[in-house]
Amino acid sequence: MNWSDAHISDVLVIGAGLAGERVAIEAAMNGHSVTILSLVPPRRSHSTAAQGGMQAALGNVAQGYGDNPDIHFEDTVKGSDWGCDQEVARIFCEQAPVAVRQLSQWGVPWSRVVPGKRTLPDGTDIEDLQEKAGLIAQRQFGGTAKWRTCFAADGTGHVLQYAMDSVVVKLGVTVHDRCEAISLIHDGETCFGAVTMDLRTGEIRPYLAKATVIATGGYGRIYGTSTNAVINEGTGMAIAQDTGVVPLGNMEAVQFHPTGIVPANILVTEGCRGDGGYLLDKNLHRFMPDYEPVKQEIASRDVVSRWMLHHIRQGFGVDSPYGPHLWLDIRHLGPEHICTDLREVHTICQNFLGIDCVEALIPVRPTQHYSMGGVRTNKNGDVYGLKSLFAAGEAACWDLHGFNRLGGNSLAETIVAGMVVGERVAEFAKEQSLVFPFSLVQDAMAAQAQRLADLRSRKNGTEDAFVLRHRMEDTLLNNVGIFRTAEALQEAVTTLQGLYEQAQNVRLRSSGLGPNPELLAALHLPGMLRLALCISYGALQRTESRGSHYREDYPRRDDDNWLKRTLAYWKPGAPMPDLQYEPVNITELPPGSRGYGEMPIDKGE
Amino acid sequence: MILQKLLAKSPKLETRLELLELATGLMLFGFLQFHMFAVSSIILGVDAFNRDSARMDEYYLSYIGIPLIILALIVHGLVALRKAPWKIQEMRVFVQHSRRLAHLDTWAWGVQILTALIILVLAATHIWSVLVTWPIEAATSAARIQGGYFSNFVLLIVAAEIHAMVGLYRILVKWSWIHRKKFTNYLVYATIGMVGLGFLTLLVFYFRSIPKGLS
Amino acid sequence: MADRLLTFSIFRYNPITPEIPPRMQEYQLEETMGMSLFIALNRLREELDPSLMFDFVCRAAICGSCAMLINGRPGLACKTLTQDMPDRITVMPLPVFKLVGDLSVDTGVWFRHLNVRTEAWIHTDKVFNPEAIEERMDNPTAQAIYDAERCIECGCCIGACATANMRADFMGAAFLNRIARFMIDPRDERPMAQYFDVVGTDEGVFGCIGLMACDDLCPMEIPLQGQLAFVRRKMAQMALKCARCK
Ligand SMILES: Cc1cc2nc3c(=O)[nH]c(=O)nc-3n(C[C@H](O)[C@H](O)[C@H](O)COP(=O)(O)OP(=O)(O)OC[C@H]3O[C@@H](n4cnc5c(N)ncnc54)[C@H](O)[C@@H]3O)c2cc1C
Ligand code: HEM
Ligand code: HEM
Ligand code: SF4
Ligand code: F3S
Ligand code: FES
Repeated sequence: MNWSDAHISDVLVIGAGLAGERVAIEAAMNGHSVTILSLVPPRRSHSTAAQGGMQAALGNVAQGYGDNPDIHFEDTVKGSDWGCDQEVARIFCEQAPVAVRQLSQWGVPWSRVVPGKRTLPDGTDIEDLQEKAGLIAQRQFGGTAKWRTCFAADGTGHVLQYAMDSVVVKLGVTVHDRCEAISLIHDGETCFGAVTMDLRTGEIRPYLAKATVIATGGYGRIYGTSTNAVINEGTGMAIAQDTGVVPLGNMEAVQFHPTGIVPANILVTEGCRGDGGYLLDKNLHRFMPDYEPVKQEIASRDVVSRWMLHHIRQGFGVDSPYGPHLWLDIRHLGPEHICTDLREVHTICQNFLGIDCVEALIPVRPTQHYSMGGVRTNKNGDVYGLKSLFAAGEAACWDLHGFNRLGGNSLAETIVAGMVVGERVAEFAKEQSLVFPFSLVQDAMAAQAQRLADLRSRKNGTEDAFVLRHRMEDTLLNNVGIFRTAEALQEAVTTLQGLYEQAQNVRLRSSGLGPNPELLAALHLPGMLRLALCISYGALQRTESRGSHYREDYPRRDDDNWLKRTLAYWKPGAPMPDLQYEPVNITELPPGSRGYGEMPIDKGE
Repeated sequence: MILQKLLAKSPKLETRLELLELATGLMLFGFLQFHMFAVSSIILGVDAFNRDSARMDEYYLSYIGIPLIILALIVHGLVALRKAPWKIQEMRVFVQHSRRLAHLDTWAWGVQILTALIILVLAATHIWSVLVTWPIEAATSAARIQGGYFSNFVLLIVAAEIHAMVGLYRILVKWSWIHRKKFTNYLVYATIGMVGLGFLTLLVFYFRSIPKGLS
Repeated sequence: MADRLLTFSIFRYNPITPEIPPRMQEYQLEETMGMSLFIALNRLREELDPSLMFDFVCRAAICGSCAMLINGRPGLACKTLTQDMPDRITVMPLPVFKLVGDLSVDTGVWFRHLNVRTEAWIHTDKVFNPEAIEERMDNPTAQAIYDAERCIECGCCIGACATANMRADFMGAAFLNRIARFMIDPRDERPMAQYFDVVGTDEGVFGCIGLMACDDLCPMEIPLQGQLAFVRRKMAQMALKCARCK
């Protein structure tokens, strides 16, 4: 390796989703040279898929008057089932309105308040006041006391990402797309950047920086059936954990979204229910009010998902060749509303189900959707265990979401965390000077080159990467889903351990030359299996139910023993994660009742 | 290259050329339809035809109109053909692309280029032949058509009408917000109508014996 | 559904191995219920040929990654259901863009380049004040901007446009639409003359000869005909105005 091979900048941001780009913008505005890496062009990042909206306590609409960061804070903490870091939640709730307004100036066409009276589907009359005309409009999302979710018709994530990227383009920030970080360069104390693979040529190259930021999004694809994009394989989390010194926080906290369509597993937004849609069973009975008389369909996601699956287990699911599902009914919202504010939903139903949801019911069931867990950072975004390494967005466990994320809090998190962490990174990079230990970089490069050469030479093993991968997906789906038990989790851990061993012996069927897809699958597999093991093992150890983590054998929250966060380390060469725990930071709101989802579902009820 | 391009670029000039294309296109469209109706007066009778022609002469319409049309044709040809696929490679790309795409509007542009070239040749000879036997009279016209110009005119009618109608369509989609799917039908009917009228005129010219000098 | 055996004819070329010339390769696959090209191509890759390159990200017709020529026409592979297709399906990469390998093309660099060239961001002198509430905008304006902003940069309109295929520097419908989006945005303070310089040219809106393949094939059904005409009229107005002022 020569120095001339290296790409050097002040700040290296891995991931060009909303979180990564917001960090990059902050750093670039502070005068740093910034490089962003991404698997795909930034505007194809999975952030664009978010349809529903972004929470910020503006209090602009009738049902949101009087809203403020305090109420947002309370909703968030309750939503997280007291698993979140309250200091972080506080920063977040205060900053979210600023983020929304700044984005407005950057060009996001937020839907706006149109004053006047109207009647909601449930019969309530509301009036939006003249004085609020033209301010940013807000809609209802699950688990919130006020209407707080700012949106741009049906494509909030899309317009946010486009506006964000337009600023990146304007500032001239370097973006290397089709470039994947495959390992971090570090000496056990400090991170110096990453070894990357060029997805156009298949070559590897070191990217060095004073500060490295992981903003690589979620890992949904390890579940196979997920609402996530196919690039969401959790590689960012995996390479961070692979350092041996960086822990992943709360990996057992996996969110299932109530309304993934069957069978394509594409998400239809929470806005459907927020705007007044119902969930129906096979008798077309609206069952949610039976379980949750107050919040009904718009209780938090963990709760709704659980009741849905519970209802299916009671035999009320609609049978289909793809297993039982339930119905989402939005017909009563009317064609006009469906074709503007929920147009994306309409299109998805047309494209992937061949139905017109103005007239037909939508088949849905809970589907893996979001990872609350991730690379553990402190409130400023510094990653535990390694200096010069930061993380933000879904890839991070900043810990805003605890054990359940509220709808609309994630887009807001990516941006607010982007601001906060970006500021910290900018400050850090200012104090830091550019020095890199040559031999360290050389070794890191050599290790990766060896890995690729081994796979390409097709010397070792007989295992097929795709087959192993499908087994992993099935294991997680069947054993580490919404309802969890000790036996199922134990079985998952055992199976995954076996798969992890087999994954070391993958043999490619193709040449593996260039950016070969099979090579990439083989390359990602061990990391994905490590994440899968952290999830399963973490879930097995956590003998309580909290938020999205629901143990049928321990159906209650146990604040005495489990008001703590899991930290999963992976020591070099170890077969299993090393779990440690840290207390949850409670500053304002002591643990109490969420006000919904209380009643535990007893086994066999 | 970047420097030269930067220096040579002139939005104002390029916009004006486009406007010129629009103006001459509309003008020629108007002229052609008028012209077709005027010539078709032969259907009503030799007198009608000759009267029309004489009246145009009388009010000097011909003397202003004809040079103006010729000028418009030249300008239009020059301006519009700047977009044509001149290079062999461009042409091949266009043809291959259109084949793959199987898209009517895209093919239609190819047809427009092709008809333009046909018109260029035929209209030039046509205008020349009319001008050398000035004035316009039913008898000379009939003689011409019966004396070998018939097939030329068949081709010219079809080419000119298709070119003009597609041209009008293109102007409308490029500049306005008409619902083009609906509008396409009207244009197809109009083309068929005008071509039919042209053929009828042509047949009248061909089968009627028109003695010279009758008025 | 009758069990059909589908034949896929797929363009293959890997720039890493230039000694193997571009070719069409055939594969066969049993059709399954609700099969999309996303499912089919992935199965082909996993079962028959693990070196097959293609791009999918969202697999829900939102991200614009998977545009390719499907039986000759540009479209999003993820939302193309095989049940709507004949027994023989030809798949080729999108033209105009640089080929990465097989069905994968480099749209990202192309779009970024044009975003820079057209300065596709809000131009304003206003400094953001974190304390202040947002500036107001009426909802219809926001909707109109959103309608143009729905473009997912898939490149179908570029691949479908014969002009873009013939002339490398034509900016294509996607960017003319993008320009229209900024023109109607009250937050963008750019004077019309500045747009004029960028799009009032043969590389801009006057390069478009109204082929309308873009309008017919845009998977987001963006009203490109209207958007292009809007820009064209604005540019013509500019030219006429300047004629008077000089
Ligand atoms: C279908 C769906 C709908 C959603 N709707 C909402 C909603 O309505 N409201 C809400 O608040 N949240 C919603 N979410 C959640 C939210 O969209 C995501 O959590 C959030 O966008 C994640 O942003 P991010 O920037 O962290 O990551 P992403 O947007 O996923 O970006 C990750 C980036 O990292 C890059 N990357 C990954 N790995 C590597 C690597 N190894 N090397 C280099 N680059 C890499 C990728 O290319 C990508 O650019 C939704 C999620 C889904 C799946
Ligand atoms: C009766 C004579 C003619 C009529 C009525 C006519 C009409 C038109 C019209 C209305 C258009 C559309 C203009 C636009 O898109 O802005 C057009 C386009 C065109 N015309 Fe003609 N035209 C005639 C003769 C010719 C001749 C003689 C030539 C060539 C020598 C020619 C070449 C073209 C070309 C190349 C185009 C396509 C331009 C483009 O798409 O940008 N036309 N014509
Ligand atoms: C501007 C000068 C023109 C004059 C004075 C003129 C005159 C005439 C005359 C006198 C005829 C009758 C037949 C004949 O005498 O040959 C005729 C027929 C015809 N002209 Fe022209 N013409 C002119 C331009 C054009 C142009 C530019 C076109 C087409 C592009 C055109 C297309 C035709 C056609 C198609 C016919 C046959 C009509 C029919 O059969 O209905 N002419 N023209
Ligand atoms: S305008 Fe339509 S076809 Fe063109 S890039 Fe945008 S979404 Fe794709
Ligand atoms: S296809 Fe091309 S020529 Fe114009 S109308 Fe569309 S950009
Ligand atoms: S994969 Fe995103 S549009 Fe097809």
